[in-house]
Amino acid sequence: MIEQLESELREAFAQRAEGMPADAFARLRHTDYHPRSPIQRKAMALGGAAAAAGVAGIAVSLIGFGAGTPRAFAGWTPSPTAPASGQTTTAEATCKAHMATPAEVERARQQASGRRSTPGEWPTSSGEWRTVLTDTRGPYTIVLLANTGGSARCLTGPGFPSPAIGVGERSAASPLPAIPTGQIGEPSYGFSRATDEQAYMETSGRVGSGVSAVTFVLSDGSHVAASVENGWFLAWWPGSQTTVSAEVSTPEGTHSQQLDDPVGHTLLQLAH
Amino acid sequence: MDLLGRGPTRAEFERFVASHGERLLRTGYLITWDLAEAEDLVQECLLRVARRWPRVRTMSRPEAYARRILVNLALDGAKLRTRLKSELEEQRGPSLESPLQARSLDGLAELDDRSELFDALGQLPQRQRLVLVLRYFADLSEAQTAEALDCSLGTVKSTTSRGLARLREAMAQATTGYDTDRPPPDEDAQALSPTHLTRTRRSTHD
Repeated sequence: MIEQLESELREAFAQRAEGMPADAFARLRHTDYHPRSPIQRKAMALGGAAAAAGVAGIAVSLIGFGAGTPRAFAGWTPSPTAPASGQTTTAEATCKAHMATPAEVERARQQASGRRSTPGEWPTSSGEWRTVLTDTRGPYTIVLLANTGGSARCLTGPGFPSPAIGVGERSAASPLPAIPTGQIGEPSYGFSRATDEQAYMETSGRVGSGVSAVTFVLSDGSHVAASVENGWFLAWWPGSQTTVSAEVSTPEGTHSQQLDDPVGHTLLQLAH
Repeated sequence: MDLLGRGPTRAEFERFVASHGERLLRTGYLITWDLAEAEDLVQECLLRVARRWPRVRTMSRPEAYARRILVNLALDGAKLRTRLKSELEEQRGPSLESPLQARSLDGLAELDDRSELFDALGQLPQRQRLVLVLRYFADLSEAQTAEALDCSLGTVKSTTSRGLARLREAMAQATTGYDTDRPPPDEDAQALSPTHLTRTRRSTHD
């Protein structure tokens, strides 16, 4: 009886596996396998809204965004735009309402790093989320939030069934090493991609004193101006282009600051 | 795949994906029993392999390493997905999609010989299905399955045994017309929980 069931099981598995839609693997091969350290994996948009987003929303925990994400970011602009009335306050409230609990944040970090956090690596008490910086581009608003446990970027806009929340810097509230005057600190990246049309990159980080504006030069040569305020910068753009350099404006003028290539940075980490 | 760098490293990784990606996807498809979830799992798995590729490429069996990551991702995500699915089902009310009920409404259709087995497999707790997939699809031995899961041989044996027993029971119920809407409790959740794996895990994650 057992042998017969085992035999049927082998055949059933093989049959179902063979029945997998042919285009599934093609989709898989067309993904950018982007080493993402220090690029951070998307955190989970957990909570009631994630459940309400439907079955596709379950995929959020792993891929970042499931079906329902806008296929094109219509209205996005390479430079921040003035927010419409209530746009930022609505986004802030929505984002804060969907921020994960400390346990959920830890799970997201595990997914981002591929390992459990070591004791003391992250503060255990997270506290209330506060808004550090907001960036609006057309109908989209990305909010940089922070508490004592770290920071998170939260993107909202048309077509997002729930906010897209990504893990940001390690800590935005505890004492951090100073950023040299007139420069920007190492950016933290977030990357999401479900299909070509749904990919986007986001970045945030700190700026040294005197920095009034930051414009990123991307790997395809395009430019994206960041929002800069309160000692932080924040930006995002459709696609999977990485940053090559930043044009940093100070009272003395604008200079170019080369940025570590995330891929090269990852290989460097692997070498140690 | 334009972000893994250029040159031989990228080409090697692309060959790896071409050679083993589809098998990983089929394995993920059987583990999750859901194509969208499988694509997510395997995409995440390959992203992690890509990130560690300079080291993974030197392994004797990089595909086994990738499968191990896939398994860990499936186990790590199973609890969350189960919880969210439960929330969804509570919001939606009783499902009308029970395979057994659906069949009863479609009595004119000739059932595939394996439809009952498919139904039963689809309703297995994911952890039990995962062990069965590794044993009967990936053709791993009990020892290899234990290694892939970083659990004891006894856990693999007991989980396999319970999974097979549950399949037999479900198929018998289907044959006698007995129906059930809810999947049975997952008694293997503890034995194969991510916490358990963390305690016994050696070096899957760096």
